[in-house]
Amino acid sequence: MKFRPLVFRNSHPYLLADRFEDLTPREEIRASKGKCDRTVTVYGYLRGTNLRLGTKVHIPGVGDLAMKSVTMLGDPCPLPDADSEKRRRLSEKRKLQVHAPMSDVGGVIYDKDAVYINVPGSFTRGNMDVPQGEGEKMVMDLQDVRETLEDGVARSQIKLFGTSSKPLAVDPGPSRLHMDEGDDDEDDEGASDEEDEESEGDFGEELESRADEEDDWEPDDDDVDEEDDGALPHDTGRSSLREVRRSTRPLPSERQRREVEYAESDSDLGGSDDEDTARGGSGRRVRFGDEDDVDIASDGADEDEDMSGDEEAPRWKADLGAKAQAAFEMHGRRGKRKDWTKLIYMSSLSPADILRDISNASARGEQGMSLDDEDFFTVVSSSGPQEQEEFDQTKEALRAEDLKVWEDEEMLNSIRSLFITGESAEAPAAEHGEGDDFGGLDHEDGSAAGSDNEGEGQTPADPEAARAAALAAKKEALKRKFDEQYDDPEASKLDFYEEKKDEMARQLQLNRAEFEGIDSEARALIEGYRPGSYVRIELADVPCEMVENFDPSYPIIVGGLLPSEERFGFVQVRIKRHRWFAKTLKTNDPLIISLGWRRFQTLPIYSLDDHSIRMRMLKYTPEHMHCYATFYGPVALPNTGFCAFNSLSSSVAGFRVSATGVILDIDRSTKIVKKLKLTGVPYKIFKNTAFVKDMFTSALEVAKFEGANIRTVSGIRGQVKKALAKPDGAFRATFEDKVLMSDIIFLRGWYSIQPRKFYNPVTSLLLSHQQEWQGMRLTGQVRREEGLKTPLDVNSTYKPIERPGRRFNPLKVPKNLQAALPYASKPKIMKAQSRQTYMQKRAVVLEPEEKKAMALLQQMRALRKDQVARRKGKQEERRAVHRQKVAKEEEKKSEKDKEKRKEYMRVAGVKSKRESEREEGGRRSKRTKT
Amino acid sequence: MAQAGNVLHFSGHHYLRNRLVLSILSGKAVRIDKIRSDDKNPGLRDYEVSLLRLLERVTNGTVIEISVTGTAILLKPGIIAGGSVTHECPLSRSIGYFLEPVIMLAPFAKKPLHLTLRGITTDDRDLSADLFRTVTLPYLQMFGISEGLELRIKKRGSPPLGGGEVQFLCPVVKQVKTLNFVEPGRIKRIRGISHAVRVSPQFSNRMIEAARSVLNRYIPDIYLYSDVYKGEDSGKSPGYALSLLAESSTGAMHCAEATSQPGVPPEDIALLASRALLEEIRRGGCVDRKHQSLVLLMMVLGSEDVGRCRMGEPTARTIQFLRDVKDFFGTSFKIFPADPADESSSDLLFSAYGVGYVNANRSLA
Repeated sequence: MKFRPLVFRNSHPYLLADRFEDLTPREEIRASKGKCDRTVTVYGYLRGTNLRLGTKVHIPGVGDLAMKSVTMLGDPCPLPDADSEKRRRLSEKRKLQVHAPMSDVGGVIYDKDAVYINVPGSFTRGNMDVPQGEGEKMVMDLQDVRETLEDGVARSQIKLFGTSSKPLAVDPGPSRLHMDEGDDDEDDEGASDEEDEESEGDFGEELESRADEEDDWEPDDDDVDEEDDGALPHDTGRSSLREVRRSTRPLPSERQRREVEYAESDSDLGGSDDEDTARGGSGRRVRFGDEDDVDIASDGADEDEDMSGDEEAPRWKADLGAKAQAAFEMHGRRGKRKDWTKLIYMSSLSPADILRDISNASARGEQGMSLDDEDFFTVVSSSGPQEQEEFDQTKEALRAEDLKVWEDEEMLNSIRSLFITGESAEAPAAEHGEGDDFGGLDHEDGSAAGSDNEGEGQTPADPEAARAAALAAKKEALKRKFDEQYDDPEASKLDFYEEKKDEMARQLQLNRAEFEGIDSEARALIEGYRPGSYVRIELADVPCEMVENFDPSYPIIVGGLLPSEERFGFVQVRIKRHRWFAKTLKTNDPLIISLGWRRFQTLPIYSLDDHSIRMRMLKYTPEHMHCYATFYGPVALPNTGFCAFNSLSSSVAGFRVSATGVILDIDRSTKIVKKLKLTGVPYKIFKNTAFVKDMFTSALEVAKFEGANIRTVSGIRGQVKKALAKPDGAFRATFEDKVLMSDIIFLRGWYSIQPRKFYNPVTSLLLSHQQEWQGMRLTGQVRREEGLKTPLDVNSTYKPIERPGRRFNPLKVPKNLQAALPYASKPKIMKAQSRQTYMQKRAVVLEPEEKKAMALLQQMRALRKDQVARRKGKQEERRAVHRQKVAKEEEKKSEKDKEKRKEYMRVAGVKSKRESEREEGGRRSKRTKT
Repeated sequence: MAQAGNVLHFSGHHYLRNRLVLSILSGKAVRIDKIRSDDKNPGLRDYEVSLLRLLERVTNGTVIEISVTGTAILLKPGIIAGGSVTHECPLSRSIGYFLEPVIMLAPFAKKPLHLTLRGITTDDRDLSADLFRTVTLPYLQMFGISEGLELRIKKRGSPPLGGGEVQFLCPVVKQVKTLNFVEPGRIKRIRGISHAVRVSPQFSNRMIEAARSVLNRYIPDIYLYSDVYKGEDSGKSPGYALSLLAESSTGAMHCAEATSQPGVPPEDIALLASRALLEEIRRGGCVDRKHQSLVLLMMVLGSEDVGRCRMGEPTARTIQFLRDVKDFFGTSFKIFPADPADESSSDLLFSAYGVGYVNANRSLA
């Protein structure tokens, strides 16, 4: 058996859910009577590749869903390690930690950071058997409120004074809006301040702090105690779930507001580094992989651009330069370096502003360049109507005055160290550019920047040793190189496999080095969640049927989708009907395809490549052969395999897999054609030319087909020439021979067809019985099930065909020609005999003697006939007896023969056996002898 | 088919090309509005419309809707088809404007692209055809796109009338390799092409002389070619330009060019170009400033590994490009100083984890 790597599973993340929770706010469910889209979490071990945020997932049987968040949790049943092995028994704490996939622990709900216990208390609704007091009833009635207080006030008709004409009105709109605007500005200001202050902040560290803030998944003992209490029979668990939602997921606006508050305090305090600032900053940065924050950032950017159109610059922009200057001065040389990651991704500054900030702050002597930048980009920000437009250009305009600096000899010399010919002045001895001011690293020693800098640090301490070491290293390298080239130039070259392996190992090492200092949370943001980790995935907008018809005994798979797999298009596949499937497959019949994670019903068109010229449609799949199929559906990468079904119900007799295949191509259009024959008849025939009608209906159509090849039924080929004026659609055509009036002339054309855009996902998990899913049925199936009769079209009924007999004119050879022909070729047409011949007209009269003789002869003949017949019958009887006898003898003989042969073979067998035994014995005896 | 909720919104005509390219590569629909809505002449320019038309030709199934006023467009990307395409570029922009986005798309097409562009080959806004051939294509080769990658300059065309023609041939790849390029090395050679069409061929020699006067002090390995096109191949307008390229020992490249201006002697043009080259070299890094976004894009699209590249300070275009990449692909770069110990160095190390973009368009059969 050939080993085939499962490419699909090796290139997609997936998870088998072992827990499933509905996190939708109960109020929403109640308000929509359970019909609202749900928010759901699934838990499980990741498999396959890294699961990255921002991609979609597909749950087979449900559909494509967006991941709201992914959280890595502690492994619920970790592998035994040395420590646990030593103990050989579960601790009390561990004993209570249950990992029971897809089972209800009873009133206890773990979430990523808390445990919720449902205690059916006295205020639980529906608890009618307990007698309730006045107060309790009031509390329960409070739960029935259908509108907010605000709505109530708005509806009320309170008048402040009796004479007031209008009731008091609540108008929350404008004030709120105003607040938001203010917040925005503050936010930006805060951000810009932050950037200046936290110059060297690494976002990894901040993430760490965030991760620390989050509680561990594991429950502590107190919770477990409560669990015992809460292990009473619970009915809904609603109250606790509602808590979950509120405590873990603050509304986006709420969160934003909190951030804004921090930022505000930051700017008020004038940049004093207190706890709040750091927290605010971290809160902002941690979620940089989150959709919400991305939106916020981009909105900000958009706003900037929008505002740039206005005449006046936004407030925060007004004294940006001054602020940056101040910040620069305050922080001195240390603060010069920008945190580019933060500037680019975490601020809403426009690119030009970022650069301008840099150029203001940089203490480099590039006045000209920075000026250039400033001038250049002010055009963008002010964009006055009279100013020149900024183009989307790659090259920046060269300005002679900016480049004037290069006339200076000193300036020219300053970059000598960047050329291989130039040596830096400070460390003339270091031959490899070590101690080079500009990080001019030599390519030959593959040391990274860090190690080089270390060397640099050592240089002043022990320059002699460093120089010696460098020299030694160089010598070593040269020696190695020489050895390799001299000894065996072939051996030094690795073969392809080794080379690739080396390359992969190097890349792997690099990846590891890159993530070395980063904690798992930050790492997950960059490279995704690794296979093997236990994760909780929060899914948004899940159809409510999935929750309502949830069956824990039926597996739920969450499969990650690649970005390209979220699209739709025409998919071309190579397909073969399964040889155990009894029926053939028909073009445009619905087929259920299981492709990757997805299962869907679609309408394929089968086709075959016709001499590499065209894709020709097939009505049915060929026997024992691959063919192509094209259908509309979700895109999958080429080389993905699939299988197809006609029906998913388990009651179908026989083999269910109807076809298998592999994806070949993805496109937005198809090139399948089917044959189209246009027929016409000649209505006037010249020598090699004929006028043909009834093929087209207008001269325009003919014009389209000028020069097309046509053919008669008898095989005479021809060409469409030109449309005729008179009957619409008639044309002149030439043929290689004279056609007959009775010939039908046809034109073979190709008509392109598109598969129907039908895509029907199999949503079996949304049904109460997973097996019940039924897709689109065939017309015949629908009729059978509904008991409908096939409608009969009058024109489609079979009628006896009446064909008038053809009349052929006689061949007439002209007299002159006939005379000239040789006799053999002359048509031998004779007139029918009009007179009776002698033999016909003579009368025969017998004499009485003759009559008697005739009668006698006849009688004798009759007797003879009878005698022969009887003799024959007797002979047949005798022969039958003889045949029987012969058969019997034959049988006996054959039996004897068989016996004989058997005997012979037996004897021969015995003989051979003896012989072999003797031989063996001989050998053995020989062996014993020797 | 893009879902309704899958549309990204942008405003303004800036960075239009990058956004269109990212949209087509990522398959996410994009809506760009407020295109010069405050301008006296609102809406898309002729070259932008021409670019949209070119993108529609290169792709299959792309739906582009332009609002009546031309101030908003909606692009629903199809697949990148490739194949043989001919495009007439308007005279308002040079061929470089159109070639730049196409180069980002072409490796991920269904069929190898054979693009013929007619128009202006060299102007002072976009990369000239020479720089594309000598600098951009070698950058692509670093990512494993090499076999059959070619740019032929059939005819040269100078502004204002153009008349040039270039052919761009690009193979398709399944996946681009990631980049690990942190050693800028030191400049080991300088090459250049000076061309003069419909003017005295002596002009190009004069430019070479002038450029050598600046560059000879650094390195002896300088070859400046004089490229003369005659007759039909020299386009419709007179013009001359010098494009320079400095290559380091590790393969890092820096380029600069200057084009003829009325009333400026060729010597001054050459000086401008060579000083611009020195400026580029001084800015350091492994990647030229004009190609930052191309290299960063390929790093993002690379295999699911860490890619690293050392560059000088990003330009405004690059900054916006990084933000757009984050919107389209969700990938953000880690940007930190290349050598923190060295205060004077402004080099930055860009590192990112590739998305593992696989060319789904490539057909198996």
